[in-house]
Amino acid sequence: MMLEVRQLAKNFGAVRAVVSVDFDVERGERMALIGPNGSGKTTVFNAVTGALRPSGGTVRFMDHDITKDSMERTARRGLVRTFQHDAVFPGLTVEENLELPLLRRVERPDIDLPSTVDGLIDLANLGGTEGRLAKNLSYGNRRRLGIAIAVALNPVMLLLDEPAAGLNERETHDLQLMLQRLSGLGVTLMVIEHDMPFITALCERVVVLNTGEVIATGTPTQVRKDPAVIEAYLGGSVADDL
Amino acid sequence: MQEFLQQLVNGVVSGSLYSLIAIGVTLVYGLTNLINFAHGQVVTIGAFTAWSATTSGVPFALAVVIAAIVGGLVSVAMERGGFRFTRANPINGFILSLGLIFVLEGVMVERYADTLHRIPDPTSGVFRAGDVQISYQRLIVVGVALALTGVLMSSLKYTRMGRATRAYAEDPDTAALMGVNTERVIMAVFVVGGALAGVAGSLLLSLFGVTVTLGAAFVVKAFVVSLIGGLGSVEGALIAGIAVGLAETLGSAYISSSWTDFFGYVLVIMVLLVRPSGIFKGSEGAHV
Amino acid sequence: MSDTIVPSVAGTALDPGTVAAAPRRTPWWRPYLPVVVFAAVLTVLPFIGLSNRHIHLAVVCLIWTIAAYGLFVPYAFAGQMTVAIVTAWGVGAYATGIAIKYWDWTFVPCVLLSIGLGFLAGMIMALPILRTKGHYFVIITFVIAEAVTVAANNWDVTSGAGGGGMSVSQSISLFGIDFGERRNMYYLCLALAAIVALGVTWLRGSRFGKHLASVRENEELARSIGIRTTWLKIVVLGVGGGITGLAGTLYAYYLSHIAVNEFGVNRAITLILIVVVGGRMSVLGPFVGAAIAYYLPELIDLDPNRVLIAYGLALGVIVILLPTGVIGGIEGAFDRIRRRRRTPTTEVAS
Repeated sequence: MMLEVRQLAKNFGAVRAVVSVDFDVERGERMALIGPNGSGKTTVFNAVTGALRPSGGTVRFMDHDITKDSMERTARRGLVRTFQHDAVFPGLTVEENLELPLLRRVERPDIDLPSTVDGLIDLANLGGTEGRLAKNLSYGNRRRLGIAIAVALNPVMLLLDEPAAGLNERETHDLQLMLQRLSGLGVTLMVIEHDMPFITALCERVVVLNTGEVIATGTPTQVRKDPAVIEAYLGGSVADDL
Repeated sequence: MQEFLQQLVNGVVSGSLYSLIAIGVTLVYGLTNLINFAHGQVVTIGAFTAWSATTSGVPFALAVVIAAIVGGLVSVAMERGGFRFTRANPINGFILSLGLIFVLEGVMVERYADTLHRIPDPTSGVFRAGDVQISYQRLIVVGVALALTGVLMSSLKYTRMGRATRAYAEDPDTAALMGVNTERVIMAVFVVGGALAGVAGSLLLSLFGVTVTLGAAFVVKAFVVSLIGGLGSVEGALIAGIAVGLAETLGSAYISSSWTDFFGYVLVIMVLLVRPSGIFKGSEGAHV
Repeated sequence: MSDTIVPSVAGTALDPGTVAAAPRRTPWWRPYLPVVVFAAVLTVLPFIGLSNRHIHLAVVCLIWTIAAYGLFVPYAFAGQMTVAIVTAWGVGAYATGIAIKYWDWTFVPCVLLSIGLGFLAGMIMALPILRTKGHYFVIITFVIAEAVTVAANNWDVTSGAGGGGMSVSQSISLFGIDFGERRNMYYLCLALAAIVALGVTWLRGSRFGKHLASVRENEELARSIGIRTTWLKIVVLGVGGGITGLAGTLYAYYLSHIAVNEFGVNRAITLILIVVVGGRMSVLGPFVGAAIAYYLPELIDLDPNRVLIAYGLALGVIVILLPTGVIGGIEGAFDRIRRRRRTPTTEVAS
């Protein structure tokens, strides 16, 4: 079991953003965590990655208890997150963006992701942009560079924060290809997303959150038909999201 | 005991002045993450405006009003002419404010030279309660400071502009989407802060007299007060201002008077160790 | 876990074709060239017949340059602005003064002491980073600088009898050369400044330097790839303090007299001016900034108060109009000229 989350809870003062969340992610899986706005999925994401301290519950990663670990510590264990906004080092070139995390690459027994700048650029389909400043990249390129930065560490599992947000159809397709390649190389993926077609094409399993609790799990198709899920999204843009 | 009460009174007097100056600094930071050390110069300019007015025959009360107006104008001029361009990078704004210190202080030195400027006491007489006494002038200072702070706090709560300001402090993007005119809110905060600073300067003039380096001395205290009270919180500035005033006066009276300034610094370290965001969680402003 | 077939992109719109040729790798010594050339030019300066006064100004300028590097490293590399750097300068100067006056130390031990104490002071003053968030730290550095000034004014060792400061009546004697002689002092300071500049250049390209850049560019991202940014910040502020400490030793020896108010907020603002005006992108920034801040007013012979106003205006103008400083502005101008001559390249289709 790659990631085990048990009875995770997080309060902000009187607000219980995450009430009690349980889920697992198996090695090599492509899992999605979805839910309407305010469901607590971002908070779960932050609690798992160490950006926030949980108020209760446990998070285990590869048999280590990482509940109280900081973001730095979690990343060094091989659980790396990406960012939706501000995903790159803007004033550095694409090359420099990748050189730095490569310096911190960790050899791991069962995963061997590209270990050179060229290899990463190839994986992320950023050929030709090496000398360009990251802040001058197009939106889609920047997104894939952000993921490549995380990949440079040779992570066992990637947590992606709304990787498809704001991308057009072609960029979304490129992103999907990159993530599928990563999965093929053995990386476990957990994605927070709203884009249902994207999830359906990429992920095998979906966990649905609402008001801080898990309300459904299953394949994308199963989850789309789940009455609890449909009701949770009611009032939002049901047709668009599902 | 009566000595102690006397010191308390003195502490409240200086504390209320610190609060007035700190409000300008804490509000601006709360909204725009800007660290404006040039705010002290607004105090100086207010003080000298009041001095020029008073020595030209204007009654003190009117001089204070004029100082408030000038203070507000100078403050918003700094925003329009400088800080407006550094919003994306508040540290650049900080550096700019340092430059403004040099410019404004230099200009004041040119105009007024480095001497102590005083005015005759606008009021005379002393109010006595038992063995504790406070001059009417000092009473007025405390009264004006508390009154203005109270007016500001209720404006923030009840007026449209006040609510817009708090909305912007809470979440600038949503506020903008909801029609809050963010430029106006920011300018308003600079004007109000500057006006209060101008008032503080004129009150300082009436109590102690002023020199051109006045502002520089007070602005550090203003930030200390803001840190203790919580950057972005007006209530915090009020309470912390009094606290620092008391710490200084009591420390100076009972420990050592050559270390006066130091007591405030010790207080801020102690508070930040325990509560890093200050007593009241102000607002972190535009970009957290 | 399902088997995923990675689709081939060959022949599709995504096919990157031949990867663009790897960018020209610059030779290892290239970054050091500007410093070496600049230092070489400065070496011959005294021979073109400069007056004693000019050499004096140049020495002080070089000392300011070294002090400015102490701020340059944390600010330009890691984005850490601090007012308290001037306190480290004072620590170095007074450590030297005390060591000479009370223990009869010579130059080299004083230098080592000042660098060490400066490093410690820099790190200690940076500790608030552990408890502060956002820009609180910058404010705290201002408060620290003020607080130390108050304390130093109350300690008779530093404030001197009746607040007169401390005098340092030794001159540097090294390898049998008397550096009390102005021209020799010039070469010593030039050598040290060049060494600092070269060291800073090396630092920039080092692993440590790259980590610092990540803190500057995107701290949260740096943390997400496992970098302990908080400690990096504290260490780099220590390094800055060590460099400024060195400047303190030279300052104490050369000026022969130090006072508490010379290491306060006003001096800090001037240091900030030097780094910002000179430019934070180029390693030669501090040299240029110090020359502009210190040399220029002397040449123009302005009233000291007017100099302050000019400083303030310069700082404001540069921050708003030329954020990369004078050198950055010049480099930017050259870039624009160069770009106009090239055919524009299009963004690679993504």
